[in-house]
Amino acid sequence: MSALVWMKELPWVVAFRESSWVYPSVETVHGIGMGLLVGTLTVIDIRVLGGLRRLPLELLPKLSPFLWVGFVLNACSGVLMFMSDGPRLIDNWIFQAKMILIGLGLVIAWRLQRELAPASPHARVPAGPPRVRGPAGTSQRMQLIAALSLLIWYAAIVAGRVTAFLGDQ
Amino acid sequence: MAVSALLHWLAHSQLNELASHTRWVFAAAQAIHFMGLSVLLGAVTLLDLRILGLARNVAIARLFGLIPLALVGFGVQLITGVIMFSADPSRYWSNPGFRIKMLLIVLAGLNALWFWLLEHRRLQQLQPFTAAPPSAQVVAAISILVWILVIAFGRFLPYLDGIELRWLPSGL
Repeated sequence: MSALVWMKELPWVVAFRESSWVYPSVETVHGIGMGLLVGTLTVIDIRVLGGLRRLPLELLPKLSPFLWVGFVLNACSGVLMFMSDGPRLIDNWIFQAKMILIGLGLVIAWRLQRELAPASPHARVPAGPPRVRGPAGTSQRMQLIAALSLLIWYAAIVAGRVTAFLGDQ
Repeated sequence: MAVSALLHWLAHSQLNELASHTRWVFAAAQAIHFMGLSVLLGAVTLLDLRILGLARNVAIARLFGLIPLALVGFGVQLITGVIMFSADPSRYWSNPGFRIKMLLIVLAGLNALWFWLLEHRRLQQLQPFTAAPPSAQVVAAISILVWILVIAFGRFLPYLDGIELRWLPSGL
């Protein structure tokens, strides 16, 4: 806790918090990162669930760089904003929930990427019987993961907005 | 004149009542606005970056399915944006950041229209591994840039509240 207070009072963190343009610029980066991360995931999840059928399934693993670029932008800008308001945020249960959702969302995104990736030619286990797949071309298991992913990431956005909203009061 | 009448009407509308007197309505509108942002930016960026030359093995026409998704995202933002705006119309209108943001959205719309009228059909016939014509690449670059600026001005709105920009026509 005292480390958070110390961090918050570092001269450059104070300057960052009080700057009329650096702070909103970092917020902007956080917004762009969010759009890239959640937007790309939305496209992937909708396709797995059976929408946007014109997109080839093979394209989806190739979208992952956008997702990770978005995540890195958000992690960096998020750490900066956390440093400038740490003592308040750490005890805020909605902020805690947001962090848990992001952790879960990352695990789920990684799982889905693995499901979508073409089987490695070096896999030691021979391919099993073809999985039953619906008209979307994806298994029910993948669809469940995609639905969870949408739910978790949009809940994380809501948690982020509520955290900011409570801070303004 | 028409603008001030519209502002007055909105400020006395039921929407204003709802958005300004019930705190969670505004917060909810803002949260949903951010969801729309994600859908719009994700769809638009993926299409634009393909036109600019990424993931060449995918035919551009296959990405046209993202356009309705982008429109859904924009629709969500428009509705939630009107709700937030109606909470305090004259304050938003006097904020230079808000006006610049609106101008940029109009620019993005004209750019999208250009894409639809002049580029869309040519791109549809492109095979995988072929580059998009330069004019389409210009449209795609403008699109990414303008949407990023729209996000930026949205984030800067509270910081530009009460600031006057002399070069911005006040009667706009």
